[in-house]
Amino acid sequence: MQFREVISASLSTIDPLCKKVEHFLQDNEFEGDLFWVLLGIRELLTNAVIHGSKLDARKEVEIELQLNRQRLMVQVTDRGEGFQWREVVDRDLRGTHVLQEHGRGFFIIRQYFDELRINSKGNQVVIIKNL
Amino acid sequence: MSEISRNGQQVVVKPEQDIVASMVEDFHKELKGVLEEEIESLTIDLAKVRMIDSMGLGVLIATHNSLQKKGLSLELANPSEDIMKLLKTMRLDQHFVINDAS
Repeated sequence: MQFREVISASLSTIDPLCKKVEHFLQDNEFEGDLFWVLLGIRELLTNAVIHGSKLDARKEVEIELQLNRQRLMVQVTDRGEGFQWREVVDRDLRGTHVLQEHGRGFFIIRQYFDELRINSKGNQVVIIKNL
Repeated sequence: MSEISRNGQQVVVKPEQDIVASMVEDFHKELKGVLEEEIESLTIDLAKVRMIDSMGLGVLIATHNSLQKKGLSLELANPSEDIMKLLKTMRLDQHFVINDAS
């Protein structure tokens, strides 16, 4: 099963999109943890809107989901110049930096998803959950 | 956006929606307003909150850090099971005071 949608790069578009994703997953009897999946997708979309698109609502952010019995794949692409994801992707804020106010997005994603891939430009992220 | 109730200098802020990127700027302003008052405690009641994203956690942490300067800790009430698991995963349960009704 496949889901694809394009939104304008605005924070206000993320909530209704996540609602559609939630319905897609429920309608297709997704058996994983809905809270963590939706949280991970939110983190990708928020990064794409804020860092990838610099909150420029004229830019587009595209999301694609592919769901089968074996896995859930989520791909988020923005039209920005590319964000240096690698600088933050391995950050772990649970130690001495636990009360730092920013930089948790990828750490949260890695708690639930099994794979995380970023293209070389830095404007497309794929996350995979094996089911 | 949030229901704010006061009992003396004890303040409870109850957001009416999820604490996520689209609302954190306004929510942070509400909390900063409360932090300017003379308060004994600040509790955020999460009864109506189903989701907190990383930006939401950032606002909670910023508020806690401000309270620490007054010798106080952020108190959270009524987190859902999912949000409790998130707080534990991020080890924030070791810093916030969490009143879990369940």
